[in-house]
Amino acid sequence: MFFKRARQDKKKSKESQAEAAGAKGANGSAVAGEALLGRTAVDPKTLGFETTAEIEPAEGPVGQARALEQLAFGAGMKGPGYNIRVIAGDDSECRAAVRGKLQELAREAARPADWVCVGYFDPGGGYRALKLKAGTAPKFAEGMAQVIDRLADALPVAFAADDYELKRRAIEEEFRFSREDALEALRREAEAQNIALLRTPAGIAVAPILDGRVVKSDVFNSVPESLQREVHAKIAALEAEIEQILAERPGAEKARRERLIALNEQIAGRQVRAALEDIMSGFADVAGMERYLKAAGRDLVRNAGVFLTIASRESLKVPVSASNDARLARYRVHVMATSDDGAHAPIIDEANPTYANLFGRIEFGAAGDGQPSQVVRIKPGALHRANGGFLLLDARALSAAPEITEALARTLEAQEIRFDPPTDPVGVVTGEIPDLDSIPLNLKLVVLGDAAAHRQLARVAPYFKRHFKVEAVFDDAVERSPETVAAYARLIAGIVAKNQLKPVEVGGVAKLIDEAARKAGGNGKLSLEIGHIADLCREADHWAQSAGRNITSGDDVERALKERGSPAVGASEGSAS
Amino acid sequence: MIAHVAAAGEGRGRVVLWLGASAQASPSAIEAAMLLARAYESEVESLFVEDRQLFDLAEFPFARVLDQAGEGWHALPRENLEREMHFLGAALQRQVADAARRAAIPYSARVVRDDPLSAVASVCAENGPWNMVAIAEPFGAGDEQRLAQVFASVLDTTGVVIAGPLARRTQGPVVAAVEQFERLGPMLKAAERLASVTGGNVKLMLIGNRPDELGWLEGEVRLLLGDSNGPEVETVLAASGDVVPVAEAVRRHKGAFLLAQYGGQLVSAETSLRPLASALECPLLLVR
Repeated sequence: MFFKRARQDKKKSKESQAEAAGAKGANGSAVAGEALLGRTAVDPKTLGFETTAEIEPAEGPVGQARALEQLAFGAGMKGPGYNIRVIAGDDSECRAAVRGKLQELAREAARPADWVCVGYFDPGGGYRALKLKAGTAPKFAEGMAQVIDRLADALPVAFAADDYELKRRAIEEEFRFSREDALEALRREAEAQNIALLRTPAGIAVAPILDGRVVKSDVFNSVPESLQREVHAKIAALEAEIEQILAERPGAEKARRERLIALNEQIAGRQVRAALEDIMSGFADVAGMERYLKAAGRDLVRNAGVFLTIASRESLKVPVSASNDARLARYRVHVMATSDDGAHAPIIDEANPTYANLFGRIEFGAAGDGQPSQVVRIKPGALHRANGGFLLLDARALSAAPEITEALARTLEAQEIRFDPPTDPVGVVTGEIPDLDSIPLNLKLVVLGDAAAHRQLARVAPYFKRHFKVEAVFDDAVERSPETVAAYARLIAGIVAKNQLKPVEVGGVAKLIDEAARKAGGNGKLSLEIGHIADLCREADHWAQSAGRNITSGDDVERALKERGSPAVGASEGSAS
Repeated sequence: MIAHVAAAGEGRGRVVLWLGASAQASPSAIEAAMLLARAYESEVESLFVEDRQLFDLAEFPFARVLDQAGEGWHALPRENLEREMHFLGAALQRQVADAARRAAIPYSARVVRDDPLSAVASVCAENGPWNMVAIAEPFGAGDEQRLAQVFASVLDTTGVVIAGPLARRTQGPVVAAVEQFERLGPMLKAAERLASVTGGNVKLMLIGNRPDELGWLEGEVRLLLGDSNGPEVETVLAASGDVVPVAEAVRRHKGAFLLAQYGGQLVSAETSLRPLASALECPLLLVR
């Protein structure tokens, strides 16, 4: 086991002890000051420099070697459950120290692969996850967008070309002629029986004729009934034949439709193949890519009509990229994870761990024409962006959202990122949310918080703790020794450098170290609440600036302490400098 | 006979666009009528003929109509027929009026209830003899017979324009199919007038049944045309009235019009016009 007992909650009691002692020291007695510090105040002469400009700034925190070691251990361990609980004060410097260490570790880790989500093109409308070489996902997404833009230009031209129109009309006319031929043959047969097939605006009619002309009704009524019945019988027979000719049409209609579809596919297919050629060769080595592009190609050919509709409607408007049209959103490539050239394993700090921020979200857009809304964007969450690296979360924020912690626990258990939001996005009908392929999880979850926050999280989500086999405890104080005092001076030099402050005179450094000692409770230790020291550095710099100095002096530090009402001021007045 | 249309205002003819035989009008046929009118500085009269026989049929109590989709029979009372005819005529004539307005061609419209052929013949006779009849609906099965009847019955027309189902081109060269040397002059003249409005030149297509016959015809034509910058001449062997090579040549030239003689070996009352009409991408102007 790698757990270490938390010491964070001792901090308050130490500080109150120190403040009580400080109250005595504020009476002006040097002896009281020493009592306050627990030891003699730092003698500036022992530090061995004039200003912080002369010493090497410390890169890491002082006295947190064990915590950083645990962090490195957790980061390097393979296998599930080796996530890291970091117990540290509510100190941005601690978080920065964690981040700094993780950055160091990330530099040694391999740059993770990219991930994208692409449409399935099946009736379910799901999305498949494809793993691409690091940094290539945006190029692939841009490539597909260019394919759509290119087809938006090329398909309307191809379908407007002489060649296509001629072939299409030839099919239509062949179909029409075959029907006309059958009716013409019937017309001739009918004429031989003194019956005419006549065309009306609404369709085809059958009439008795004599000498090539329709018989007048009064003439017809004057002929014997037997003859009338005979004519009626002939008409009924011919009508049945007409019906039969037209009843055979569904078969011919089907053949016509199939030939038109084949022609459309031939014309569209040529354009689609040409448009997809480059992208096909550029990403041929990606698993699942060939299958995806073939499916996309088939779907593009089937939906070539959408491009024509867009072209006809957009012709009078300002041209926009077709790839942004919601009707073509199904071809959009959604980049879930990528990295820039030269990047290392990612470190994502998610301060607001909502479901959408962690697992991503799906955005819908109106496709118009009464079509159902379309997925226009799949936004990755922090889990996607941190995959292959580190995800930093706050223990207090997690304990405030147990359902998110539960979803995270399921993710850690399954070792894959699944999109299964607890509630549908606003305005989306239940069932419209498409299935997304899960993406294998490969990250270290680092949960930061003080001991109380971690205890609260354990109460709210007891199942969560078992996914954290590593604990890194950041001490709130370090034993005072010549070495740690020297390290502290370098730490102050680091703060000065990082914040681009004026160099601090050695007397000022001594006062700051004294303050750290006071903060630690006067028990022979130095407080590691670096944020407080950093604030003092910045404020002292301000007072030096006000006084027109290029160097922050001990007086400036004194002024900063005084302005803050620090109990150490009186104590240090007689002892330092 | 000379292919000719009287000029507008001359009162001796115009382009008669015959509507009503079906519910559709070919845009190419309408466009061809407008081009003819412009070429001869003439006018267009659209004639919607309500077939009187249909009204005779509507008098029968058993009269009924099977709709175009073949989905059911409907009674054909006279009032329905009247209404359908009225709306169809209005729609088709509006289509023609729009085309005339766009082409800035003088235009008039008329509705006649009669036997269709008689109606066309009468209308041409009352203002002739220099008419041309353009049949508005796309060429269909059995139309050879109708075409023969037009040439036989409508005496006051110098030609008939038909548009096949694939007709869509009315700009470009005019192809004149010449089968007889003595027709070269009038055919060439008509083709030149048409070409002046189609934005192309004239291509003479000499058609013969046999190579020797064709060779002779070509020699005579070239001799007549001389070395001047005359029309492009080509020969097409159309043995036994085979129209496929002719249609192919017209397509190759991207012709805006094919000008041919009615009653010759290419288009005759005895042979089916369908192979040519269904392959042509431009209107066909048949002259006597």
